[in-house]
Amino acid sequence: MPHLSNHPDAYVDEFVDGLLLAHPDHLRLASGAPRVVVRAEPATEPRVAVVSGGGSGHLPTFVGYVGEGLLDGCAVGNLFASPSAEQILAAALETGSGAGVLFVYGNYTGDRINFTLASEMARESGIEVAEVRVHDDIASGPPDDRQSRRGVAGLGLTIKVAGAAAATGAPLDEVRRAASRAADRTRSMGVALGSCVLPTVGRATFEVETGTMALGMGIHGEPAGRLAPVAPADDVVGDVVDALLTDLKPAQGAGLAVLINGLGATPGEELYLLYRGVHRCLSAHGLRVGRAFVGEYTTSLEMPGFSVTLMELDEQTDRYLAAPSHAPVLRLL
Amino acid sequence: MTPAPAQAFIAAARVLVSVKEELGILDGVAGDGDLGASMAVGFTAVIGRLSEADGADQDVGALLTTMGSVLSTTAPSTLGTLLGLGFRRAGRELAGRDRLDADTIARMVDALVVEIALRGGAGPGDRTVLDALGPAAEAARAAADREDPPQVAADAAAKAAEQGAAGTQTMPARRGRAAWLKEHAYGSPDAGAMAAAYWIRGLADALAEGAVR
Repeated sequence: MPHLSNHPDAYVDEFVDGLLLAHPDHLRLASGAPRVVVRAEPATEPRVAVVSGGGSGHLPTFVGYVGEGLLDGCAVGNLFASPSAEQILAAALETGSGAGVLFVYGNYTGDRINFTLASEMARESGIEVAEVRVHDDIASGPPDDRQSRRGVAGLGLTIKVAGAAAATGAPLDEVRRAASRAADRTRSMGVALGSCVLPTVGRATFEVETGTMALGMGIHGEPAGRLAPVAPADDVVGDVVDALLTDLKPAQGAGLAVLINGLGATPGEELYLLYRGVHRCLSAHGLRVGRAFVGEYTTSLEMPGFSVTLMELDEQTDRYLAAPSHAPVLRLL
Repeated sequence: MTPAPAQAFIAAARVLVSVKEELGILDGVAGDGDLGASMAVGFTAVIGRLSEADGADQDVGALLTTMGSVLSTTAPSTLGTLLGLGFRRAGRELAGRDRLDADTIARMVDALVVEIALRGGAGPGDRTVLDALGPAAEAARAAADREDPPQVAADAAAKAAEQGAAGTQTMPARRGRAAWLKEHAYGSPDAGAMAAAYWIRGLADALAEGAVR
């Protein structure tokens, strides 16, 4: 799909610029490193700062989650590339209010390296740091090595839990535990019907043949676990939900948060149609949908397709998901 | 007489900038194709910084630290970050050295290996830059133990790096984005390993040229 930009190399700087021009009451740039976006209003009393970061191209993930009850700051990387340790450190320094910083990020090599480095640098500066790494994508690693899995749409829900916990004034270790527990009970899987084009590259870096679905494709176009001809929506979600439930093994009668995520080029109507299939499938398994989220949460530029995320709810996680929050990028009206 | 360390590092950087296209294509097989561009941007900045450095300042440690800092901030890729960290480690360990003798070369490459393995979490055989740097470090150490002249040590390291990089063609990847593209990448060498091999060869050529003069 053709892209609109002024110059491919300026794509990220210009989108960040536009973000700040659109929402000046809520967002501002941190000092100390480029492309670090933080909440415009500082914390009124000391509480844990929740910081994330990652590649551009996945809005609203990551920077779209900067807002009340969500992220305090975010380091914005190049398209599909990790932000630098310096950027992440700048986010921590700018948002810290003396109660420590929680880094929430996805399991990708570059992000792991840079967040780990930033944690060390922050600790050297006297800032207490804890980390929660999200690895919810079941298609990218076996059940006995979940640490190897990629982080995808589960990031948004984990950020929400972390932000809600931090807003209660809880200490760092409690915020970390709440987010980590929620992330640990989260599983996702994506289905792509096509690829996306990086404006800086100008052509698709991988192909999905028309009429084919790539089950388990990653949000940077990492190859699918399996290719199959496009099937009716209910059949597709049936397979996906079965795979997720087999992996997650929720307790009998458990409540689940369900997130249907559009990858960028799938209409809202289809996302709700897909949600219907997921909802019916879960009911057939005797599982209760506690909360539903349908929309674009972790896109991959203009990739056609969707992902399903299931998070098993306990009382605390459910309470945190229900907490009020506000990010200008996420609001409807 | 061997060239000043800064000149050797500049020559090696120039080689990496010159193979931008090739590295980009290799990286496109197993990644998103930006490695060549990233190395070109980073090492062009390195050339700029080292060229403006005072000619009298040939402290190898300081030069390596500068290279590391420049790469960390200008080379927007995982490899750029790892090399930046590696050169900074090497810089700390070689502070005060004023020439690129065999022992300095060996310790420099070894510092790269140690830091990159620590930070990136990869090991030998994972189809990464370490599959070029590891053998290069061993070869350089062996040369240093024999008290070989610097150009001989660097050449041995370059040969080992080139062989190691070629060897990645048949390794399945276990780290990074290449791990997701295991089958596609078979038969094609790892772009990061190739970048390391080119850099060491560039260094070796500069030292050999200086020795002939």
